[in-house]
Amino acid sequence: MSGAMQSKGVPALAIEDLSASFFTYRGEVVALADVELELKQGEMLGIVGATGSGKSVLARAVMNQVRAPGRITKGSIRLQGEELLEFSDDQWRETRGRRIALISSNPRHALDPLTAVGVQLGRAIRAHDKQPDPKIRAQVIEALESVRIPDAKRRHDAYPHELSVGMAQRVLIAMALLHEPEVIIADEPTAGLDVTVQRQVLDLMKSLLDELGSSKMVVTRDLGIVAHYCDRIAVMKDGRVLEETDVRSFFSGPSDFESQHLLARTLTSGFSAGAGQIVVRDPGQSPSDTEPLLSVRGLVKHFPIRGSRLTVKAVNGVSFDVAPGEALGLVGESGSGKTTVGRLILRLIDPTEGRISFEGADITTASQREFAKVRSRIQMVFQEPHASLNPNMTVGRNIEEPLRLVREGRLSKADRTDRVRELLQLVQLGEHAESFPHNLSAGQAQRVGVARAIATNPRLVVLDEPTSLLDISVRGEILELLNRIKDEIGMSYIFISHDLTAVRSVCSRIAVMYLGRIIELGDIEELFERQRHPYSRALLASVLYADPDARVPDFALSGEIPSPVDLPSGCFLESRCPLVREQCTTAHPPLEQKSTGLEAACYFSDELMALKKEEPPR
Amino acid sequence: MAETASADATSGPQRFRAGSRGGLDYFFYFLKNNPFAILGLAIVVVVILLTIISPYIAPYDPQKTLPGKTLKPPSSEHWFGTDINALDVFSRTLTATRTDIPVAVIATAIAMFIGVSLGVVAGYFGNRGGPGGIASEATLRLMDILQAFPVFILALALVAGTGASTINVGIAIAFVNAPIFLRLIRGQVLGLREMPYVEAARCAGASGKRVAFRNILPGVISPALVQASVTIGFAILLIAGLSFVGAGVPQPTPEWGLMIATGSRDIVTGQWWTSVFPGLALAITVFGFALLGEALGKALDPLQRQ
Repeated sequence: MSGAMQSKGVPALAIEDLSASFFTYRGEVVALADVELELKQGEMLGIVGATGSGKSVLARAVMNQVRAPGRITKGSIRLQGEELLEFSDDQWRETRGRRIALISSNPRHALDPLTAVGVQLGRAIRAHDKQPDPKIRAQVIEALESVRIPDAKRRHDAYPHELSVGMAQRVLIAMALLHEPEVIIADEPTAGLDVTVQRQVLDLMKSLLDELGSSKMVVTRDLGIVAHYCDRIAVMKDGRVLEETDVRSFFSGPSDFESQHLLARTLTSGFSAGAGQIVVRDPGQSPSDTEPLLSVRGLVKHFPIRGSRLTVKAVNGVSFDVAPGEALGLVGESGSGKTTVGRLILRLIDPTEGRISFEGADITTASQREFAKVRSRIQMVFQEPHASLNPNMTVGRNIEEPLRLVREGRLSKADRTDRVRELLQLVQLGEHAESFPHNLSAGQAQRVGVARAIATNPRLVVLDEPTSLLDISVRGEILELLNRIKDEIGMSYIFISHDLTAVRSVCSRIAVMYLGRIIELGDIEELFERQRHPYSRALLASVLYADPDARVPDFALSGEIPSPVDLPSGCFLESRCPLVREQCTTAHPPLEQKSTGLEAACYFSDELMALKKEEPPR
Repeated sequence: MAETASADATSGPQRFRAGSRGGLDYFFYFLKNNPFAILGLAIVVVVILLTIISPYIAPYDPQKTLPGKTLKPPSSEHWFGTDINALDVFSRTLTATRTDIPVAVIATAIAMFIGVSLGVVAGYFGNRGGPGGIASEATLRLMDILQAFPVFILALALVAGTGASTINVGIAIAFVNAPIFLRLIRGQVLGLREMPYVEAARCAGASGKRVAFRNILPGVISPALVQASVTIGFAILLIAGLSFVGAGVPQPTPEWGLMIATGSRDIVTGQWWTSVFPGLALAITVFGFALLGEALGKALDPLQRQ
């Protein structure tokens, strides 16, 4: 069907001189300014840019979904030579879903929560193709199978909340492909997915679309995705297209200054960076002889589920030490329990079992009153930069808050003001003391969060995904700041993140978590080079480097993370691991010393080492 | 580094910063796009103005009978006519604002104060077990019982028990409206208390009390204000209703409900003006406060602002 309209030479989608604005009470806000873009037949074009660069508005403009107060002010969008901006509503109804389809991010929200997914797919078929019910059902099941959803017949009647995020994203892909459209627009298609699942979904999407011969436009912030999957790239900033070129020449040196800047930031920040990248890190102190600052032993946290006797087993026996001045990375995908561990250390929640000692004293059972004395020496930086600042207080006041609440040796008012000024200088926000958080950019807000956390000169700072919600260009800034603070003030960090490369740029030691257990622990360079656990290898293999020539180590896990309510009886990775044997199903392997500086919990780590790194395991 | 960051904040042609406080700009922009907000605001402003100046502009003394002028129809002399007691309906309709508005506003303020403070406590300490949780559960169930009664019947019973007077009517109204605020605020607090910034305050070492009142309370003020505007409208209706059945403001105080009641007997004989005019005044006022509440809700909602 899709091939019928295509003629040689005419681009699948041609955008010319396109401008769009939002008309707010502060006047016209330009979202797109004279955008020129061409999507060639069958190619995959990556549109990259920071938040607010206009890339999502562009995607919406192509779908005729720019809503009031937004409006397309001029220009033209041609689909196979037909002017879309002159389409009537009826023509649009015919076009959307059939000729142009959208794969949106945030799949759980994009699906109707009250309708079974099969029914939703059925409606999407019926919208363009009236057919009897049994036939539609068969088609839906076929569509679900085509995106490799296991047990498609049963999933037909599942509701969105019963699917994992990865599954829901596959359903969206299936929906977009139903009518074999000529053009597919994917808006951050993997934004909410874990890295190991991201690889699965992108590979699937790419292969299905190539089969169909559709032309694809992928909107993303991740240069890694572009480098690996796209043919050409368009860089956007402030509603303008800075550069439109093929991927290979872009990554070998973009011609536009701003694009160079973007690429350089990506590389130097240690993010998505290929071999030979600049790693901003000082190895720091080795953990050996000194008394540990923080010691965690056998930590367990189970959350009861309301109205049920089941529990969510978030943390299942975690032990580690943090030496003074050391930075430990706590890495894992969502559901690995890493954030829960952070919250347990700060006593925001109480552990089910286990012991936490800080500065040699047991703080596990300390009452909130006793813990209050320690509190100023353990602080936290949160994931959401804006939401973690009190919106009703000025920036200065937000930073001052922990200083006011110190139990012993509280500073005088004048000293506090000085300290706040000093902290603002340190995070380079000197002029913002009187601003309110909502006037800051995300990166600035996160620097305020960092300043607040270090205000009381804590000995340990727990960083809970401090960079995961920031644009790539800003991430590097925060990591540099964290490194500088660590070196200058000598604090210990626990850096919680799902991003291995970010952790590598700050930490010297790493603990990889999976389903509430540490499965590999030790020196970070050793882990990057000679990981002893299949899960760590899969995590590393799923990092997409911003380099189209980087060889992707092919080591993928199948399926998705099991439910923490119903844990596997053997090794937690048993259902996904390509190396699985009989022994793995009996008991979870203990964490054992595998090499100098690396402990791993796997029965067959020698076998993993024997596999050559870049070859498929089977 | 600092340069790039500040460029982030201000880059782009007139880049709009979400949630920034546009103050007056925003106020006028909002009014321009919401004609009903203008209407509501206008009604409320006029009503409040009348509350202040009505004794000075009313042509006659609202409580002094005019000999020989019983039940005169509207004329140039008496715009809204006169009632059975030979009182000028126009003057009474105007000055009635001095009874209805202050009582409604003060009663709502009291209801808001009680509801908001209990709501913050119940929301912050509720759903958690322990003595705080039990106390907040108990408060909520008590509110359930109160709300199970029809508001009007409950207010009627309260006034009947304490005696019909303007003050008792105000107390009754405050009492029956407090649960509405409590529920609303508790719901908001349950959401806010999971916000990272509240967690951050706990990390900084803030006590429960401090977190609840310093970090959470400011966040629930705007929904409370929205509710207050709507509640004032309903409170006026309740005062009028109570007075209508004789359990409210005593005679001869000018009060809309009372006037409607007094005039209702004359409608059958064709003298419609004695109840229709105060009735219209009442309807328009309640409508105005409801519109204002609606507009406030829209204007203060950060999602709508974008």
